[in-house]
Amino acid sequence: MRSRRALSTVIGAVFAIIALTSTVTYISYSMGILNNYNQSVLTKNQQLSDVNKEKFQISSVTVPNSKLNITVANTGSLPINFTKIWVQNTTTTDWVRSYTPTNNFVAPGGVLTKIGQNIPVYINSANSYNVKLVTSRGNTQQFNINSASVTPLNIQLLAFPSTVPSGFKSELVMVIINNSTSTLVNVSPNNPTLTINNVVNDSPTCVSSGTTPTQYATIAPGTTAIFTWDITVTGTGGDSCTASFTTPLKGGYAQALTSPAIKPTAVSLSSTTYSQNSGVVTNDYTAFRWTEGNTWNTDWSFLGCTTIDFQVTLSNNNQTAGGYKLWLSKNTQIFFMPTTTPPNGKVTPTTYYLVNKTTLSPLGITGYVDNSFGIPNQGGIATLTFGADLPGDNTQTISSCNNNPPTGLVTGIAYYGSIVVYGKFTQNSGDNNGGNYAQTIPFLAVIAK
Amino acid sequence: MKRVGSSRRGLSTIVTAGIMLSAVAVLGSAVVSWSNGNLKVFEIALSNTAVNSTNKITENISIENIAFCSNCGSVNSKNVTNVTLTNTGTVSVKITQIQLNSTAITSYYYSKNSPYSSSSCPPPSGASTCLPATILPKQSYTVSASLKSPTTWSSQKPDTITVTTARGSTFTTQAAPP
Repeated sequence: MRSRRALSTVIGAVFAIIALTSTVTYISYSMGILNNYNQSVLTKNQQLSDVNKEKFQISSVTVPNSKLNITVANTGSLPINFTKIWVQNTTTTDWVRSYTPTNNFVAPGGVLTKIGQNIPVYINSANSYNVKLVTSRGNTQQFNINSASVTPLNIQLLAFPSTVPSGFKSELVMVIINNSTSTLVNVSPNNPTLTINNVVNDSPTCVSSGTTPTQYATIAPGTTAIFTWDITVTGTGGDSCTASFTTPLKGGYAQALTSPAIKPTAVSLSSTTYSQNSGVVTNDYTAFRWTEGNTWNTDWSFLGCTTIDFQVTLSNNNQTAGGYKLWLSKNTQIFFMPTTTPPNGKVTPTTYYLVNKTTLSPLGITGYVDNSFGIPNQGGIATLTFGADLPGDNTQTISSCNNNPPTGLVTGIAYYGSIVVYGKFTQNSGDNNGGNYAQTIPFLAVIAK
Repeated sequence: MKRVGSSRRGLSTIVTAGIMLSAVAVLGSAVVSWSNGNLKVFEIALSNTAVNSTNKITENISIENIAFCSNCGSVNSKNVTNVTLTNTGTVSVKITQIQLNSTAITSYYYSKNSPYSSSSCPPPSGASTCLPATILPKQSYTVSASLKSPTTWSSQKPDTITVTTARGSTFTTQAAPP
């Protein structure tokens, strides 16, 4: 039987092919459009990612010759191109300018300096400025110049310690946390106003030193700066001193601050407070001197087996006023102990007692009369000479290697020494109304050569 | 003599086949034309949508700087905000509207001589500061948005600035007047 494909089948196939071709064409076109759109989305994501990756830090700002000199560190992973620098004088109204910096490119990890040197803006130190840097990706960072911000900063005042012996120093500490979004530059504090609370009417004092440091070049957002002052206070009986500010920072925001009260305590010499006041006499270690009879020397190495005299400089830090002195006892001495066992096997001290005076060429001493010399209270300084073999004696302590065994300070032996101070705090040498006082001052390591 | 095994189509069969073929041809052509037309419409719509969407995601505006002007127009009027916009994208952007705290700005400050305008844009002389404005890629444009008197901006209170483009994108930031 002969079979023939019907004509309708052919027509249907033609239509089917047309329909399929149209559908495939449309789908292909749609896929192409979607692909382009997808590419745009990816590009946009990449741009947004780059914006987030772009990071820079304003590392310093200076104003040499009234011109801006900004240093920026690229801390991100992409190169940065600075397209604009905005400068607003915030002291005057409506003064805003924008400029295009010439040196504007910085590679990742690099540092770009001298931004702002080419723009025609001269910084007036009496004014405050807000400066903003803009990158090509639209990121910005800004900072203030000569302004401790127009908003209050987080500033705290502390005193370490808050209770000090009369005449000693407490450290006033100003802690500034830059809680603004701007980098502050050239930040320096005003001087504190010191207020004395005189409780017992004994003329307390409160004196401030200068500021340390005098200025911070920059304080980045979130970072901390610390200024300190040494506050010397005197007084007794609950007197106190407080430091306060109405405007803590120069050109800054007015915000009242008051420090904790700094309370001076009197140095008393009772048995119960002896320990805490044992540092009332201090030694200037750099003033140590010795002589073999010709000149005074400052070295720690001196001649052994030779008659030697010593000088030290002591300070009386007792702040009790009223003309009191530390009258020195004739038992005041300096003694040395060997750090190794000497040849004779006996570890014995070599002692030099306080003398009235020493003469050179030839070496000679005048014995010290008990309680004949006083070091004034409230910082009195005196240079004392030691050389006598006994308290108040006119005879030198002898060091000799001709004896058997050798005596005194022997060549080749290292020694450590201490100053032993005996005395009394009275107004006059013969008074007996003060307190006796004694103190050992760790001395120096020396060696006999 | 009668032929055995031979057959002949009837006239009705031929006529029916012709009618069927005609119907299939007509209906098929109509369906194909209709579907092709629809596909063309869909293609155009898809193309437009894709282009618009692509341009929309490609456009990017950086609100670079905001300066509050105290004495623009009149002394201590405190009603002008200079908003500098920079096109950081790759296509031109037409800015159609700027809002301050959700209030659409319709008045713009030009200069001391011709302070404000809400209709004549660009201004009689000098650079335009009004909207709408088209910003080319990498270019900046400053809009001097003016609040209607007696409204003023408030010191130390944050203002929300919203910029709208012709493609419907919005860019927002905040700033506080001095």
